[in-house]
Amino acid sequence: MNNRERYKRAFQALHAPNNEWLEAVNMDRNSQHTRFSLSRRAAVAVMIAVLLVGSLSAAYAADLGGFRRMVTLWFHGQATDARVEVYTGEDGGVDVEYASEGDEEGSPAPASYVVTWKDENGEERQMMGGGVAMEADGTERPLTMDEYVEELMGAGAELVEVNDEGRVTLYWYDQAVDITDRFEDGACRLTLTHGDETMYFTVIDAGDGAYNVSASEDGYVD
Amino acid sequence: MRRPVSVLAERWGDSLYRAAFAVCRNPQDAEDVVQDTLLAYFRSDKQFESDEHIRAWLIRVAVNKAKNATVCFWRRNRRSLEDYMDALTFEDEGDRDLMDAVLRLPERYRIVLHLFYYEDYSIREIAALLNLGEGAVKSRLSRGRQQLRKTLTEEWDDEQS
Repeated sequence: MNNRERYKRAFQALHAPNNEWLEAVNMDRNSQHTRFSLSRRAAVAVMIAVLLVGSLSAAYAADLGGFRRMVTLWFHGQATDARVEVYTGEDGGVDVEYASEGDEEGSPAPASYVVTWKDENGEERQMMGGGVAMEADGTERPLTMDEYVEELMGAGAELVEVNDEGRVTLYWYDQAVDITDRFEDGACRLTLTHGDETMYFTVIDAGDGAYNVSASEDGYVD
Repeated sequence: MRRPVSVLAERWGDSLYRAAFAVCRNPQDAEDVVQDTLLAYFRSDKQFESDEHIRAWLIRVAVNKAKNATVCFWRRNRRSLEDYMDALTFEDEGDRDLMDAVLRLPERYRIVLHLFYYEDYSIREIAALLNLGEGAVKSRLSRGRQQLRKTLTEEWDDEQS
C-alpha cells in the first residue's frame, strides 16, 4: 500500500453527518420575501387533493423554519432545487401580491404556496397555488407545509404549465401531455399510467391563465 | 451546467467534509463549512463547464471557508480533537496515527497534502485552486511529506518531491 492509498483509507474514517448539515442548507433565513412580482399570465394554480396522490420520492427537504423550505423537486423529469413558501392569511388564504398587466401592484392573489426555482436557462421561475386535504368525514382544510412539500417532492407530482403561446401542458413523472384542445366546458379529464400506477386527472380552467388540478387513483374528481 | 444541491451533497458531501476537517480540525466547523459551501453554490448563478469544474469550485470554496473558520474570533464549545478522534473507527490503527500526524502539521502543509493525496489533484491544479505558485505548492508538499516521514517513520514511504 502506497502513501496515497494509506492517506485515503485514513481519511475515509471521516463521514459528514448528513442529516444534520443538510437540514441547515437553508436559504436567506433572514431575508423576507413577503411580496412577489408575478405575471398574471405566468401564474399557475394547482389544487392538490392530498389523499389521492401516489408515490413520493425520498429527496430531502431542508427545513428553513417557519414557512419556507428548500427542496428538490422534479420538474419536467429533472431534479431541481426550489424554494417553497407557504402563506396563510387570517382566512387560511395568502397575502401574495403580484404585478398586474400594467406592472402595478395588484390585489392579493388567492394562493397558498409559491415555488421558486431556476429553469435550465438560469431564469428564475415561480409557480403558485393552493391545496386542500380531505378529511375522512369529507371536510376540507388547507394543506400544511409538510403536506405541500410531500406532494410537490413526489417524482409524480403533477404540474400544469402554460407557455407564452398559451399552450397548456400537464406534466406527470416524465410525461408531458398537451391538453390545450382537450377542455370541454372548462374541464379536461384524462387518465395517465406510470408503471403499475394509474392516475385520473381533472384540470379545471379557472380563468386568467390559472388551472386547478386534481388527481385521484380512484376516478375523476368533480 | 448546474446540478441540484442534493446531488452535490450526496456525491461530494463527505469529500468536502474531509477537506474542511483537514483544514480546520474541528467536526462542527467542518459541518458548518459544508453547509456554507452548498449554500454558496445555491446562491450563485455561476454556470459550470463540467462536474469536475463544479467539484473544483466546491473544494476551493470549502477550503477558504475552513481557513476562515480557523481564524474566527468566536469559536463554539466543542469536543476536543482527541475526543473526536477517539470516536472514529479506523480500518487499521496505523490510519489513526497517519491522520493524527497530518492534523498536527501546519495548516499550509495540511491543505496541500490533502488535495494531493486525497483529492488526487496535481501540483498545477492545487496551485490554481489555492491561488499559489507551483513552486510554493511543491515546497509545501515536500516539507509536509518530510514531516510525515519523520513522525510516521516506516509507515510513510519516502517519496521524491
